[in-house]
Amino acid sequence: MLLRQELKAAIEAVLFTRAEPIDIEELSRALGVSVQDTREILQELISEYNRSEHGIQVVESDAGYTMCTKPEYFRYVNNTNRSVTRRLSQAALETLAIVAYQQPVTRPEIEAIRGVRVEGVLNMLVDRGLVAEAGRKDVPGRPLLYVTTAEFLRIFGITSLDDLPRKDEEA
Amino acid sequence: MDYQVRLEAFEGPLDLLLHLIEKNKVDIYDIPIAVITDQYLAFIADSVEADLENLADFLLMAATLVSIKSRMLLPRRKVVDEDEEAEEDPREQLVQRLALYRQYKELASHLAAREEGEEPRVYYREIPADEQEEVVPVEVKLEVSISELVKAFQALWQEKTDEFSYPLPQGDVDVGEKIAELLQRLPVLPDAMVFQDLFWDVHSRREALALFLALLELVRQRRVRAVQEEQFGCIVVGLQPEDDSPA
Repeated sequence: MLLRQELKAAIEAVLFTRAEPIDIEELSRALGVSVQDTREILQELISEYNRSEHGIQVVESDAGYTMCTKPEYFRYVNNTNRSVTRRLSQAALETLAIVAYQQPVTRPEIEAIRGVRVEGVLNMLVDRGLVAEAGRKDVPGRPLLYVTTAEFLRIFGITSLDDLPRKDEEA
Repeated sequence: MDYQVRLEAFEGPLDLLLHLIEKNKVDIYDIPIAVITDQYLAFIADSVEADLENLADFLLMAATLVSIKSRMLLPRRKVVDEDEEAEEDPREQLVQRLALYRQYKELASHLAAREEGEEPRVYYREIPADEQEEVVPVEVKLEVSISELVKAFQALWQEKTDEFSYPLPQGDVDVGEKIAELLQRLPVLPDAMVFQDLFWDVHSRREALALFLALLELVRQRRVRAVQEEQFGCIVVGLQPEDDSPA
């Protein structure tokens, strides 16, 4: 069994290689320690990375743990040769915004807000993995419910939905 | 009023309405409905020939506007009883929808700014390109259409026109025979043969044509598939495996 300090280093190593979030259960299996211990060590790692000498942070989301850069350094990352992501259309962005704030949301609910049909756009977003189906709503017709995904967080550079600006509730 | 903007530029009827409201510099909570309705209708009338996916939605909004406009013309009853719900402004519902839509439009531009890296954001490790490609199998994506095949054949025909001899007709070249020949010669996918190579030992125009017609027939029957390994790459042809229906 590894020492606690080594366990932390091991988690750091695993996180480093991952482009997508890793589930805590998978991590604890890989390390051979309990989920509880894994979570504790992860918390330590998170606070260490949060210190100002690091440009990287470890973040937790529903999908698991992952590493990403800190927002304050976005300009410098931009200045390097990053591969540019393909731009999404206005229709796609509006639909995504509605899903992000209203999730889980049905297609008719999105259409009521946008005032146009969104079937094609929604299918494209599902194909690109930005939006996923998440069960059905318990209303007549049992329409599918849609939610945003970890890929959505990746594309828009956020660590959780709380990073999005607040929507005024009154309108 | 002269509109340079086309209807296609708008995401939907609400988007168009917001544009008109902004253009007229009026308050969304106090829309001069007569003016806006007239402009909206004029805009739609100009764009009706355009083959619009969302035309029905634009027309539905036109009907809503006309209905609101007519209700606004009717004298409003005074609210007698204070307890009773005050009479609703005919515009109320539309204003709610517009305000909500405008909010999401703003959120959408916020998302766009993040996507572009114009706002503080985090970056995750990039997913290696080879992992992403798994989503779309290459051979499905680069299926060659019949018209592309014809184009390739025309090019070949031009190129080889000097090589072709003109022997005296020695009986008809049978397309049916060529089909049988192709079924024999062609490898089964994913192995394939370069399209042009099919013709290397063909020396008469009649035979080349028969062979090409046979190939087209097999492609049409989906027993042969023509694919490109990359965009603008060379066309290869192969037999569709028996048990596997084409995608």
